[in-house]
Amino acid sequence: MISRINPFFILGILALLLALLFFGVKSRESKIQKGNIELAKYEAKAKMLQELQRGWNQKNITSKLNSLAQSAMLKSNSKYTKTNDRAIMSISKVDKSQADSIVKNIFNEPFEIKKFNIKRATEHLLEIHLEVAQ
Amino acid sequence: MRRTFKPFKFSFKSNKSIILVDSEKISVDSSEVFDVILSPKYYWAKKENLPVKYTYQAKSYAPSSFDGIVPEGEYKYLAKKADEGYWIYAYDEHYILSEIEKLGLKSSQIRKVYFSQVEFETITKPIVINKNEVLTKHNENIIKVPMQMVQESRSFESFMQNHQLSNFSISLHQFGHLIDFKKMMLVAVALLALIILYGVHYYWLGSELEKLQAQQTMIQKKYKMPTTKLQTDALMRTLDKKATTQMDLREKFYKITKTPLIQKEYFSNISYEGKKFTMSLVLSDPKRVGAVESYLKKYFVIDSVQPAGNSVTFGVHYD
Repeated sequence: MISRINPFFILGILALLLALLFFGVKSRESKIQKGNIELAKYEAKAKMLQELQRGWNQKNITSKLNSLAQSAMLKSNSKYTKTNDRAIMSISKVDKSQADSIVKNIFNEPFEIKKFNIKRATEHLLEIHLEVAQ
Repeated sequence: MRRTFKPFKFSFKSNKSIILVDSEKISVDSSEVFDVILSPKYYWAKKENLPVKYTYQAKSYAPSSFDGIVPEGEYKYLAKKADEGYWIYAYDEHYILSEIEKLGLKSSQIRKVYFSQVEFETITKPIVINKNEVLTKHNENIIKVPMQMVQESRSFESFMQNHQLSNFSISLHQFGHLIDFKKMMLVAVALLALIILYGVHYYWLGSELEKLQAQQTMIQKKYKMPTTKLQTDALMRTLDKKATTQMDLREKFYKITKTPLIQKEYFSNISYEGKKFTMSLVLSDPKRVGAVESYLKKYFVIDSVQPAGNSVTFGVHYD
């Protein structure tokens, strides 16, 4: 028998293959487009996370607080102690301008402030008590 | 009135129906499918002594052998080994199909097509193909002659009772008349070219996807990200919450320091713990408590107000 494949069958197979490839390509293009957006988001998130991790790094917090306590302004009138979960600093007898500077320092650092107290001891002197998580 | 040819329908084993097709109109059920034996009208056949060993070699001689003999058309060629030499055939698919369709048989009703030269090569008596004509053998050729020229004949049906169709058949290019084969080839080539293009593009996109994956892994390593999205999100939430809590605290503390105090008024104490502030103020006049309270109310929920002479202690919280 002399058999012959119907050319329409071959064309149909080719068209089907092309259609599959077309949809495959479209699907991959869409995946890449979404992937690029996701990647940009992921990188932004990674940067933010890195920034937050750096900021809230416990070692940094302890060393910053320690250096604040050891500063010339506070060396003589501050007391710095640590418990299991907190770093405690008590500052006595600072005048208004010093108190301003200390409060600015405290609030501008990424300290997780658990407890804070500022008290007028005399007409010109203030006392500050600070507890931060560590 | 046009004469209608009642086809010789022969039910073979497994319900196959066979039709001998010549020039007569065919009346059949349009749902039935048939094997067709072509009368000599539809093909050219000749026996040749060719210096070749194999049938495919003989087939390659066929075009030149029919050159100048057959009318213009798109011919296909076949060869069949004979006792001596080869029978070679030339046939035009488009012509056969269009002629058969004119007789009333649709191309979709044709299963296989046989040549009367092969099927009837063993006949001993002419075979009737219509009221006036018979197929007979002359010098090994099956030819159509008027019935008056033969003395005896037999019906196609009676012949087929003892005849089994040969293996020498063709499947007609059923859709060949719809579109030119060359055009179909062009379409096929175009489709193939597109398939190759899309295939390459598809492969390239695959490598781009892998690159994206690699980039994500690189970012993960560079920024020391947790391995899973769940861990990342949990860590992010924790740090974010810390940051938000401290930002809120700063903002609220700033609002407290901006409490509208007048001369000689001051805070004697400000305490903070767990989103709660306790603050003591010395005011110039006890009536000023209301003014301070209404300011604090803008930013806090007032928990307690404890006046004591010129002093007052506020307990407030925020969310």
